[in-house]
Amino acid sequence: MLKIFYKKKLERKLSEIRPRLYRLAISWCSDAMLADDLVQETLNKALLKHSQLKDFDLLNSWVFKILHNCWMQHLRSKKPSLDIDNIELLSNHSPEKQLSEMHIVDRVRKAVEMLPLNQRQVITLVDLEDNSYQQVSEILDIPIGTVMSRLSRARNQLKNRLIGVSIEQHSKTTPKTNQNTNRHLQRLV
Amino acid sequence: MDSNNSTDKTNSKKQAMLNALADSQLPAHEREEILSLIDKDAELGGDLCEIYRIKDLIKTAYPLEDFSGKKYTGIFSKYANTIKIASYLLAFVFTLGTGYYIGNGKNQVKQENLTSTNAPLQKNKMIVFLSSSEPAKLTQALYKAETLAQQYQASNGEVYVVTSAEGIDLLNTKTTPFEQKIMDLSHQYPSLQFIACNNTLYQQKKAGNNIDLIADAKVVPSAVDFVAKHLKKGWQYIAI
Repeated sequence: MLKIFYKKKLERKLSEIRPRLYRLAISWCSDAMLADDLVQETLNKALLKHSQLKDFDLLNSWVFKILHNCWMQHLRSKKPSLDIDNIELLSNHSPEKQLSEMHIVDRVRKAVEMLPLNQRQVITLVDLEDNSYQQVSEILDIPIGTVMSRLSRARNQLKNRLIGVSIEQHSKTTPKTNQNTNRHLQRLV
Repeated sequence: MDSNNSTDKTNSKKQAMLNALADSQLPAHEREEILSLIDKDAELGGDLCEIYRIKDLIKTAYPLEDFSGKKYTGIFSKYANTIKIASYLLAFVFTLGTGYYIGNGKNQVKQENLTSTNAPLQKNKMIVFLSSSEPAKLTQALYKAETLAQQYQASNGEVYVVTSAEGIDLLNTKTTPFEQKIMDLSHQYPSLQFIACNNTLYQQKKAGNNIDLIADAKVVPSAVDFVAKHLKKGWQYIAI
C-alpha cells in the first residue's frame, strides 16, 4: 500500500518537474525533439530506479543527474555527423539572419550554444534551476572549485557576446511571450 | 611577472566572489567583504550588474513550456517521436481516404510562458511599478499605493512600489517632492514598501548622478528579476 502511495507521489513530482527538465535539456542540446526524448528517458529511468532515491527532498538533484547521464550517454553513442543545414556561413548577411539576430531569445540561445558543453551545463543548472554550487557539483560529479571557475568563464564569454543586449530589446522585438509578463518587462527597463 | 600573476589571482578571486554573491552562495562574512569592496569600487558594482543582466537574459531565453496537454509516454519513451510521427502519418492517410478533417485544435500554437506555474492569484498583493519621473505619475503612483494599502490593511495584504529608470526620482531625496509623504505612508502602513532598482542606481552613478535614497527605501539587485519573481508567486501588477 505504502509503495503505491510512494509511486503516485513520485509520478506527481516527476510530472511537475518535467517542464524544468525539458528547459534544461533544450539548453544543453538545442534540439526540441532530442530534448523531448532525453526528458522521456530521464523520467523513465527515474521511475524504474526510484528505490535509489533515499531522500525525497533531493529529488530535483537526483533527476537532474539522471538527465545529465542520459545526455552524456547520447553524446557517447552519437556518430560524428554534420548537418549541412546547421552550418552558418560567416559572410551571410541575409535579411532573415539580421532579423533573427534582432531577437534576443535567438541571440542568447546562440551565445549559450557556443559555450563549451561543460560550461553550458553549469550555467544553466545555476541560472535556470537555481541550484547551489554544491548541488551542481554533485549532479555533474565535479569539484565545487570547478563549478565556480566554469561558471565564471561562461558568464564572461556571454557578457562579451551579448554586449548591448537587454531585456528591453526583447520586449520590443518578441511579441510571442506571455502577454502579462511581457507587459511588465516592457515597462521595466 | 609575479605581481601580474598575483593581480590576476586577486581579480579572478573577486570575480568568483561576485558570481557567488549574485547566486546567493556566499557565507555572511565573505558577503560583507565583497559588499564593502563594491562600495569602494564602482567597476566591481558594474561587474555585478553584468552578472545579473546575464542571469536575467538566460532566464528570459529559456521560458518554461506548458506541458499540461502532453502525456508522459512511459516505457515507449525511446520511441516517442517515432510513434508521434507514425500516428500523424496514419491520421493524414485516414484524412485523405475519408475526406474528413480530423484533429481540430492539434495545430494550436503553444503558448510560451515566462512563469513556471500558474500560481494562484494573490488578490491582496500588488506591485505598483513606476518608470517615469513625470510629476503627475509620481502623484498617481503614491495615490494608488496608499489606496491599495488602505484596502489591503484588513486582510494583511502587501503593496510594493517598485521604481526603475526615471521612476527612481520618487525615492531620490534630491528630486522627490514627496519625501515626508513617503515616510508617513511607510509608518502608517507597514505592509507598504518602496523599492529601488540597483541596476538603475548603478547606471546613474556611472553617469555622475549620485542618488541619495530616502531612508525608508529598500534596494533590490534587479527590478526585472524582482517583479518577475513576484508575478510567478501570483502577485498582481500595475504600471503607472
